[in-house]
Amino acid sequence: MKEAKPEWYARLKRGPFEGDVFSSELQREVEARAESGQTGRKGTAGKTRLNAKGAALAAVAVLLVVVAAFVTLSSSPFDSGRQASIGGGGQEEPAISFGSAMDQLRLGMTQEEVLQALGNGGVGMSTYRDFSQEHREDPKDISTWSAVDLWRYDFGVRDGYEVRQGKGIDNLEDGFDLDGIRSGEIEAQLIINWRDRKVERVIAKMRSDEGTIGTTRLGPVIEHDAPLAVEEPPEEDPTASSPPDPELPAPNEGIRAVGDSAAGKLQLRPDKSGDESVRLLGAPSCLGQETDVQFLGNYELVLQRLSGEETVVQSFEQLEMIWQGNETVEFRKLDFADIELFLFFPRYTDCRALEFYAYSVDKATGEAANYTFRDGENDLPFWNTSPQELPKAEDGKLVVEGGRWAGQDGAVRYFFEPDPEKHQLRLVDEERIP
Amino acid sequence: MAHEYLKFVSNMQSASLQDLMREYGTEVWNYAFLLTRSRHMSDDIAQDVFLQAYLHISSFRGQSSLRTWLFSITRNKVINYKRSAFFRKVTLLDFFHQAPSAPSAEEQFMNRAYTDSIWEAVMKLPPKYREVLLMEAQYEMPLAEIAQLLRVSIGTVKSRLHRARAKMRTLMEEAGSVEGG
Repeated sequence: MKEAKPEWYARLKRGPFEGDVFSSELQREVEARAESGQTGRKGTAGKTRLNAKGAALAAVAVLLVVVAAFVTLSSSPFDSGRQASIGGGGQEEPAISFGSAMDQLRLGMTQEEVLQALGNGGVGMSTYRDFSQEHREDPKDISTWSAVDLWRYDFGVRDGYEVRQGKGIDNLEDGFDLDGIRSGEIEAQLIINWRDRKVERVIAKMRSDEGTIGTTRLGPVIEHDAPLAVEEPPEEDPTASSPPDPELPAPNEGIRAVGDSAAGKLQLRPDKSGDESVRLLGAPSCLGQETDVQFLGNYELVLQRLSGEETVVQSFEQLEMIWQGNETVEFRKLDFADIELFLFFPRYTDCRALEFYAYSVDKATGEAANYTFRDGENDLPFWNTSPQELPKAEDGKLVVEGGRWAGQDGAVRYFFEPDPEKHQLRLVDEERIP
Repeated sequence: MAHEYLKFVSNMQSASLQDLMREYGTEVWNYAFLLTRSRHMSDDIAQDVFLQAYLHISSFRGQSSLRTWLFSITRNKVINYKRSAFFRKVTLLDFFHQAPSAPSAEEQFMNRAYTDSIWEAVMKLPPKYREVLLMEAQYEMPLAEIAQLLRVSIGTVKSRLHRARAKMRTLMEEAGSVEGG
């Protein structure tokens, strides 16, 4: 199935431009900043290249071009509160509560009706997506629309709130500040998608009393609730064209992985979008045996509480898993003072290192959370472990023996401390091992 | 490979910084440009990348090649810029009348300055396809290294590459410049 590299690859070798694009002048500026210990942006003191238009061009680069910004200059506290919160640091509370807003919103409402219901003001924007030329829109799938009109509302914004960066280029929920909601700096966020100046769908995310993030929708459910979705419609995976094996689990059904917690069950389920691929690996490799089962698709990890209530903990896009057999696998559970920690390994073996994700269930509150790995300034969604020595809990720390990469002697043993407040595993120590 | 020793150091000397910029400056700048399509942003991002590498060399532990580590920093910087651009857009009223189909002055300049017309097609690809294509075609990175940099599975990298090539073929056919593939 390996594709030959196209001949036109050779035309890309030289790069897009001739000459030194990173000029000696730019390099000297870096050296001067390094010597002076200036670590921040140089915009405050020196020349600033990123002007307003530059920022707009950045939006072009990230697929979304802002083609319109509609701001009603009213004195409504609702409006000013929202706008300030988007820019970072709202001072005023909205004049209408989140619950009341949701109660009043209906599909098909006109913009005038929404303004009347929620207040005489609004912050809106249209986005234009940078699709390639052959793109076709699907009227039922917002992620395929070239132009999307959005209004965003932030509720309960704390003073001093600053918008933080998202977790990645492909995160389709970047339109929401989930960290801000999780930390309580924002009580709730609501985004209205307009179609022909009528409410097409509403997506709202809010912090529950348990600290988890819940999602409420009006209108059709779409993949990842992505008001700013940048994905193109799913295409056939070129490597997954064979028909499903009757011995294999049925795609898009069932539970792929499970973890038992005192508060309920963590369950990894295929996304209902229906494009999961399940097949035999087919050939032995570092990734497993030919009889192993390979899963590829979009998944949701949910906490199903004892009461039956469910909370989405994390969504995965195009996750590949390879396991022995076709049984539901179990998360690796480790016990800490305040939390139950669950580790999820998408694959069971590899030549060098295994990726794994971490989730916690708080023993006091029953809150489930996706933990990131904090390494200095970097917040990483997963870490790597030796396939032979899986992570363990020791003296309140998660101990991970790192993978062994080509060209390296030995490996590194990492020590992480759980931070239940920030939902992080903070790297506190490491040691080289033979 | 000359700088791989940096995984063992906790402080970088000025001379090493100069060497690093000379060796990887163009690649880091080009990668930033591929993601942002803005020369000005690429200037800023490339500078920030090397400054961060200089200040945080101790966090490079040989977990990847030095180039991949620099690309990883570049990618994070671009994400930061994207976020700030997204959240600033409500104030960009001067952008209101700019038609999306009209290329900016910068885009027009870039189209004239490309070393090869094929780059016009590359820049029309969705960024995630553009990125993975260039990792393989221009930088000749192994799939596993691309997957590590992008934090996706190798299967996802393969899938994106397949789609990127297919889109490139379409774009090049439309431009009447198919030269194999």
